[in-house]
Amino acid sequence: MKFNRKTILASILSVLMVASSFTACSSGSTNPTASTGSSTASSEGLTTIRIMGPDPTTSVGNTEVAFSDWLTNGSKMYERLTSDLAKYGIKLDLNLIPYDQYATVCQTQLATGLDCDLMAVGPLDTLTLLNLVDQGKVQPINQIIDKYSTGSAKKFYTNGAGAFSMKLNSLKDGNAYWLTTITVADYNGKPTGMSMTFQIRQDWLDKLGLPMPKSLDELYNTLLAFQKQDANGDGAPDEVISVPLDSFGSDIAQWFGLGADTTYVVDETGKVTSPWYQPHVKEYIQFMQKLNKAGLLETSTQKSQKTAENKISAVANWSGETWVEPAINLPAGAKPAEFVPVIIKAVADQEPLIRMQRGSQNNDSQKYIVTNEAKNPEAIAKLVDYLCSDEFNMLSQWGIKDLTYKEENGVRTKISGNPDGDAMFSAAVALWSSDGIFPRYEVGRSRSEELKAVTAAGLAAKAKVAEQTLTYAHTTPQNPASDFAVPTKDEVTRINSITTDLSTYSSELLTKLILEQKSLNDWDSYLSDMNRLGLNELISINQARYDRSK
Amino acid sequence: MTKTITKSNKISEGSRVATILIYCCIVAICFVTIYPMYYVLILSLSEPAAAMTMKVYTIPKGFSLDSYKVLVKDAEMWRAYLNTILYALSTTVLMVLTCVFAAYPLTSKKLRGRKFINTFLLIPMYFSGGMIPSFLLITQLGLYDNPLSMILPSCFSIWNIILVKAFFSGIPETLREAAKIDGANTYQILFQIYLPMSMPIIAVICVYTIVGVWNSWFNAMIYLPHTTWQPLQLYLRRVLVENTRSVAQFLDPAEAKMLALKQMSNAQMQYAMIIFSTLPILATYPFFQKYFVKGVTLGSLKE
Repeated sequence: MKFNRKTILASILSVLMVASSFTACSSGSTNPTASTGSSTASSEGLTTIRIMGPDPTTSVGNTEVAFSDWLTNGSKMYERLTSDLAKYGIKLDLNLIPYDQYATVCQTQLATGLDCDLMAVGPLDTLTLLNLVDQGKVQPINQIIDKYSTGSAKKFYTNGAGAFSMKLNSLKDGNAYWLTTITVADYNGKPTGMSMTFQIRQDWLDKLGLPMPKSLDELYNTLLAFQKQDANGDGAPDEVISVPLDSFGSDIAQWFGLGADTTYVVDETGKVTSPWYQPHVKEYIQFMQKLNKAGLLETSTQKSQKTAENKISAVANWSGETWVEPAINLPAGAKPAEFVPVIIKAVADQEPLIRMQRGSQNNDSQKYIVTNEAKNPEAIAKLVDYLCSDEFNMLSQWGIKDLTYKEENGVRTKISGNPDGDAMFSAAVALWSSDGIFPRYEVGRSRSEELKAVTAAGLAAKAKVAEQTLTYAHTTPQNPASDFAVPTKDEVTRINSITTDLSTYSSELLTKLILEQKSLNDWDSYLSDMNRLGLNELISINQARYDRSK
Repeated sequence: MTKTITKSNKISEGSRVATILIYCCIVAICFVTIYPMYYVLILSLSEPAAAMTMKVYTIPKGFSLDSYKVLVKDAEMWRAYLNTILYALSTTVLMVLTCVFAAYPLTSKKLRGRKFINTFLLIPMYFSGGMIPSFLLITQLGLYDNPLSMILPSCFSIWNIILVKAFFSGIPETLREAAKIDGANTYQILFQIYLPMSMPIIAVICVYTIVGVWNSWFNAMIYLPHTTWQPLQLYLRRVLVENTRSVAQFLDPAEAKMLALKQMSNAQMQYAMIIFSTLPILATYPFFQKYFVKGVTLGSLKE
């Protein structure tokens, strides 16, 4: 065989080609962002904590401001945060991921190995988190706090505002493996959530000289009058109400004594039940059918467009909302739009309910775990101590004195015009806690201050009624799921297998009943279908979870 | 005696009825294809309040370039634009090189194991490992959060190799033999004879690759967790996704307000963004249209 240059070159290239296919078969770390040094190596006497979380953004005028902009643009807020943390001996190493991509990156990080000390895991479902706990990839946060906290965190989570959250987040082994966002708002010294109510156009009532309706018949006639008398002045009878048809969270349903979700807790009895079992559920559906027959319901998916076109006569929304009215295009000379809450007694033997946030709200859609990569639990405890401190609370909610807020005679007012402050106040809280890298601890949030802001937005009538709802006695949970303790693995497996079909069936059934595509005469068969799909089993699972949370 | 039955076609080739029917179908298809783009254009140029109602059908209502002004001041958008141009150009160059260098030896009948290599190449064209093995491969190669993850995995295509091979096979073998007789080596034959004659197929590959890379975003979403190297389409997706999140899903009024305000300011920007990201393709397409058409027929194998 002749060994010429061509043959040798061809042989070398063939060997290289075959060898290159083995380059990816290393047994080394598959971690895509593996650090070269120790995870919490000391540097300048500070311990570094690696945090992975989303990069939240907020709109300030026409621009978008992201948390990462604070890091790169020399934000005074971020400088203050880092100097505060330095006093605790901590330095942050942040891995910020764009918000829309965060769920994908979380899942890919799980596939390749976690490489951070603290991680926001809101996008992950409960079963995945429980599996991570079983695999030993998550450290019990309560033990870290108990053992290493020097004060603030231990006090906060044992006897303070966070105690209920720690209990709700505890698993059957008694440990809590994640921290969640906590909101404790008060009204006149009492923990009070914000309410959600059915709200009607006060400016149209004024225009047509109609009183606020006090009964279902009056409401029906008022909504009809909006159409017949062309309240929006566009020449067409197109004024409709915008409430969800596929769920019981319409705020009209609550007037009939119904809860907002497929299962919910009745506060008076502590029992978990379903709206489908309530005595007045058929009357609710019949009222909605009446509205639909008269053409008063918004049944398309064009709610935003119809709002902009000034066609929405009533909504179901937060009582203190201020963002719907500015989106309405009003004709020239029209009075400013204003949705005002209304509560109507729909049936004789039932006081109307309103949906109400809990005064102490555990928002478990935002969770944060300490991974097994965190080799320095003392540093984690110090970080949590800082997060539970009044200092951090003030920095996150108000910012820096004389820069983003001023204080005179004990009254704080925001200073606008400062970019950090504007970004922070448009997000309601500092960007690191706005579904960001840190859990949000909104303790001492004042509902009175919130309602003052509603009045300042030109919605005084709404603010007045909204304030009355804060002391309303008959409520149902706005977020029923927040009342239940973390499910066990068996429970979450059963919940996942039940809710997919049951939720679809329930929402389709309710919509079809309201639109009269299905008849109320077959009621028993619907209930029997829902039982077959697991409604009763779901109620007992959630009852067990609720009992554990107490 | 056989009877011949003749039928007269009412609709025959060249008849007026057929022509009218065909033209009607073409007009309908053109309308369905072009109008959505036109609709987005007029929404992006209308007054923001009119754009939010989406009741703009034929001509813009009012005239406003505010959303374009916001867009051109967005440094992140320009960075994404630059990234996409970089990925499109580099992937195209590498694609042409890999296709030519892979296809040329396969046209030589003297190549040992040619049939085996052809079959070996066909199998991954139909089957792949899926997303998770691909992700594990990319991360183990150290390409996670690296712009090369957008270039290297996309810079070869077995289908394009087959296209080039088929084209090369159409070039007469006698040309190669004549060149050999004249003393040309393999590289000279490839670069000085085959390549100049293969401009049509190379143009086809360039056009398909550029359009494919320009529109891609999924790999970036998986492999690029930070915005520094993300392409334009992922930026566009971000703007569009933010606008489809439901305000009602939020459990806190402060978060609901934040999203509602963001959606109001983004409402028109998404249309401007769509136009901005499609402009280069729209502008260059008329010049490359013939290559798209050629590409459909060039795929037919000649041996």
